[in-house]
Amino acid sequence: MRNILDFLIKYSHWTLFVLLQLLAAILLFRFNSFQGSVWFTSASEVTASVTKVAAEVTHYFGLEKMNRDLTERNVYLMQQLEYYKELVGEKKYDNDSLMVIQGMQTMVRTDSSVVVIKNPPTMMDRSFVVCPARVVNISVRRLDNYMAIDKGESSGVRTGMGVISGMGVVGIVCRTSENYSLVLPVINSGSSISCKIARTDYFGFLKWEGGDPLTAFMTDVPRHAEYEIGDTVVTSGHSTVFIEGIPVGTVASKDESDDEMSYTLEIRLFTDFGRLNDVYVMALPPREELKELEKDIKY
Amino acid sequence: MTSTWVNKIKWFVILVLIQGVIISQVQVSRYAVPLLYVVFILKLPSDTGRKSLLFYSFLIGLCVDVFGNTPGLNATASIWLAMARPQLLRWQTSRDAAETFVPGIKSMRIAPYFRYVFPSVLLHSAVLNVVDAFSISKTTDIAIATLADTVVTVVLIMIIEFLGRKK
Repeated sequence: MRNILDFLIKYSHWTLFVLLQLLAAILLFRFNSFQGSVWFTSASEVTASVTKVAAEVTHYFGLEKMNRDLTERNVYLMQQLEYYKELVGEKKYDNDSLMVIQGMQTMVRTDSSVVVIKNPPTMMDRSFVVCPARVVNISVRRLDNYMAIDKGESSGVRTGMGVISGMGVVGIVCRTSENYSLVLPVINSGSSISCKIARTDYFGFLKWEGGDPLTAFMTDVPRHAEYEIGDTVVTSGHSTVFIEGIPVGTVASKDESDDEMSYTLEIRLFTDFGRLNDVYVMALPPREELKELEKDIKY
Repeated sequence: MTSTWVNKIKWFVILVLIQGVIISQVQVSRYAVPLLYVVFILKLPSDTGRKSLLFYSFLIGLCVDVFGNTPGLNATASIWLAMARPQLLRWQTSRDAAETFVPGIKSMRIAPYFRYVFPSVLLHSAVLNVVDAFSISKTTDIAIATLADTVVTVVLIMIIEFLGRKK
């Protein structure tokens, strides 16, 4: 007994080592679950408020590039506007002044000059709210990258909401604190977002396997799917997270999947996570009925 | 006594901030992440007890983890380094040097200090990269990342040491 005590006292640092190692291991394994405490993350109030200061400073260095992007985006939107104006001008309007474009969006002509795009009647309840936010902390080098943004529960941000940027899809909110949120971006090995090839409507899942933060994969694409290199990939709207048609990236090349039942396409992402500053959190109204249905179906 | 405590806390905060706010946000390359905060563990006085060494290392590792969203990762690497440090330091100091000292070029001269820093950082980044990857299939990736991290970190630590000595 005495020997054991002596031994324990002499090597007490080993006991402490084992204890600390256990603690670290618990933290390490617990973190990978999708939902959990925001405490040990960069979105906790303390760490986020520190990195926010740094982010605000570094933000200025990216202004020039951001200006150029905005100008490009402006030009693109103006072209789109011209295109829609032409479309609207060609059609003859009856008294109800409704027309359907691409079967998805309805343009309501309020007077001769203003055109408002609204969701078609069948999707009226799927209107969404966006909340602008700023990235305060992001990693791109790791296999499981995370991102902290400066909007939290006080701004209405909740777990499971989608995050987009001017460039395209970004990720999904996974934890929230009072004023900050942690986002699981596309460039996290645990991320999986339902998407489709815009031209042919074939579905797949957007996954990322580490490495280049601009290259992701679209898995489970059926073998008979039609696609071409360069095709645009957009969100499918199948989930309650993103609406349909948010740009994801372009098809870069094809990888044969192991099971030979499906294709895996290499996708070049539109969103450049290396210089991501401003994002938007998307709040879709919950589709309770759908969730209920899905719950019933699950085994 | 108070001044050393104030000093310790000051360096702790400064290094965590540099590591968590600047280094982790500025992407230099995909490989090679300088692990500057390790210098805190390496420069604790030579008479620091094994248990306090473990405790400080765990704490700074955890703080860096919180900023990088990797809870437990840097903490693990740091306590491994803390366990090995007394032996690594003893190998590079003469047997009769009984006085306590802060490891550095001044107290140890360049070559022994380098022989102390290099294996320490190598061990730290090896544990870090192995735990991070957690699969043996990517052995070469782990080796490359470990070496790159080590070289960048050691160079940075030596430069800081030189700058600090001139003052």
